[in-house]
Amino acid sequence: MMYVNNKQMVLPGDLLCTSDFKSGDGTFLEEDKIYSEIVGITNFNENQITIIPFKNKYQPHYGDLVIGQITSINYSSWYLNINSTYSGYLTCSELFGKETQNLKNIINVDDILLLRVDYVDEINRVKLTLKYKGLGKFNQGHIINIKQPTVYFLTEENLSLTNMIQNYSNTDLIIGKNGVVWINGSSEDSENAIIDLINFIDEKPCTPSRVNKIQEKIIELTKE
Amino acid sequence: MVNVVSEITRNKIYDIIKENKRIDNRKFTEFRDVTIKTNYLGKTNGSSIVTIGNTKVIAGIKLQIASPFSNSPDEGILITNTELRPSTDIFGHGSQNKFAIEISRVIDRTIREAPLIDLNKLCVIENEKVWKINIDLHILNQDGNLIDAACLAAVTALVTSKMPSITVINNEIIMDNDNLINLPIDSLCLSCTVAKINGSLILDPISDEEKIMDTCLSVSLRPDGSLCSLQKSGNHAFKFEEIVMAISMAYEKSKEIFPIIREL
Amino acid sequence: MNNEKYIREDERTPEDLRDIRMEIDVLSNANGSAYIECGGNKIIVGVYGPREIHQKKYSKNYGAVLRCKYNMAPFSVKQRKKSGYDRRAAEISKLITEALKPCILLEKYPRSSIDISIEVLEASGGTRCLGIVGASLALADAEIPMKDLISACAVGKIDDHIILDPSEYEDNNGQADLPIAMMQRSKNITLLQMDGKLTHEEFIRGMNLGMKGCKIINDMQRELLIKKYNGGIE
Repeated sequence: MMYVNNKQMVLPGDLLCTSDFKSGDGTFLEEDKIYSEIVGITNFNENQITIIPFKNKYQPHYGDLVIGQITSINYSSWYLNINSTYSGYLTCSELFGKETQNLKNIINVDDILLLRVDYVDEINRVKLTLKYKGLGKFNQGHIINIKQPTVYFLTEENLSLTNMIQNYSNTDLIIGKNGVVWINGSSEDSENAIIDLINFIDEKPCTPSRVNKIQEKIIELTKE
Repeated sequence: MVNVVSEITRNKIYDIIKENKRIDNRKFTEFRDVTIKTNYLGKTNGSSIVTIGNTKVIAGIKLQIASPFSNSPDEGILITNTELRPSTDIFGHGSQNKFAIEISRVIDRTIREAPLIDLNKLCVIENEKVWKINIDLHILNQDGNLIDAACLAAVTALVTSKMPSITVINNEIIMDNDNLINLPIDSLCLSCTVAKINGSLILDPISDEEKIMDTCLSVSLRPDGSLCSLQKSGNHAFKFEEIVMAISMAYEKSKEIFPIIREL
Repeated sequence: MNNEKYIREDERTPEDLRDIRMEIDVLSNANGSAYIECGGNKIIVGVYGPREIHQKKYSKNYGAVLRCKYNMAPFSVKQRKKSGYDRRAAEISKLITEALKPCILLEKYPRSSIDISIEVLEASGGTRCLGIVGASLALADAEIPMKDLISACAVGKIDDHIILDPSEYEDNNGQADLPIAMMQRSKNITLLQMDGKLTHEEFIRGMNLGMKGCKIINDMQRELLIKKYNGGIE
């Protein structure tokens, strides 16, 4: 039974629903009732409730596609900043034994990579992996940060928008689950246009009414 | 504070509380054996060594003439200091440690608000010289319930302290060390700590109980039952009804302890 | 004792709080921050964390380490206070840490630390309660998971009347001082101190008045957070 509506703003300690739902990110279970633990917007799935936070606090989960930057090198692993409280680590066994077409041999500090989250243990150590198709190091392009609600907006609800951006402007766009976006365009102008567009989407909380405005803006920006 | 009590002890204490039992077979409102010995040290104006079970605290009182504070030119000065000696393991040691500071400040507030000593009667020459009372508490052995033991030590030491009588002639202070008088005592006070474990309230927690308790409340009372100070400490919370019950438990206990102090 | 007709030195009734102004997100370097102004008090709170701790010595595997520091600036009181560590600030830091611990879900962030810094820029009675109010807002701003919002206020006694939210004058000349902090939903009391002279009956009256004051402040905190994010809609 739900005590609040979907897509409603809640504060810490607010009662959300009974325990028929599964308690997801941003909620906690106390005596058969689920409460919110942060300031955010409710998001009910068929059987789970999560709270979408307003700022870019990303929680790593198994299978997420993330974009990370190397911060330090150990003798057998790399540590990465994945825009979350905890840093991720990449062991060198990920690299040896993979085809060298998609990967440069040396990965240095400050390199930016596309990875997947492999495993998060109980004390929140995040293990990352490169063993899927298409993962690897970025050689060119721009990186910008966006907030968590925008990530949900672009990847789960409005996939069509992302496709629209890519088709209209001939740029490549990868949106990492951790709130980091990679843009690679044919020219500097088109890249700047897309960056402006993403910043525009990110500015205010996203609602269905904004979709139309955003579509207009895409058309306007890509006419140049 | 790192809890190093083993899981077995913790569960045992937690479980038997629900059966109204404690690990040393006391009732919830029962204190351990209390012994008070005053005038224990020779070089002080007053002293007292108090043991509650294995907890052992010494209080030493030393008086000296000093200049008053500018905002209270005709009042005596009261300073409380606590030192945890190295034998008190988990709390750390020294006097800058946060537990030592909390004990000093709670006892200082209790004594000042009662008020145990009438500070106005400690003025010697107004605006220039007053009596300064230094209360130094040494925690020799820690086995739970430090605040109660330390407060009892400080109060009994002050009640049995002696100071030289003073005459002021032509702005000169003449101290008569052969004619000793008591300190100007006003209202007695004492402290009683109530701990909450697994929803039940108990008095006088022993060290093992203190390590696993949810939270505790130190209640300081005067003989007529009015409160002079309260301090909640610990990592969890109280409900309002629990606080009211804790205060009445403390009040009932204080009725047993005050007569002992009066006899000194 | 007719409490209603008694007018206090600053023309409030015994049940009035001072005007409070609250603001969040005021420090860009902090993960969350808040600023409180109330009757001459100016307090700024910053929350830094959760930050991963790399030294094994300080980190705990079962939850975050909460460290709270209360500090008064030398220019915050009439007679300049020496800067740096003093015993009163150490006691208040310990009390505020213990007041906030029950409501933060520390288990969600093992091997990390949450540091809260409460700076009093100008003091005028009731700084520890306002510090807790600010810390609760700053923690919500930093999106640190909490069971509930915490609000706090103090109760005093002057001229034998029980009053809410004593001003600096009433604090210095009053007969009792009772600061309280409470988690609103569960009514758990996480900070309780008292000194002065109160009978049992006066204590119970004071607690009820204090809990009412905490509810008013909690409503203000909620209103501020909802307004800041525009209720989630455009």
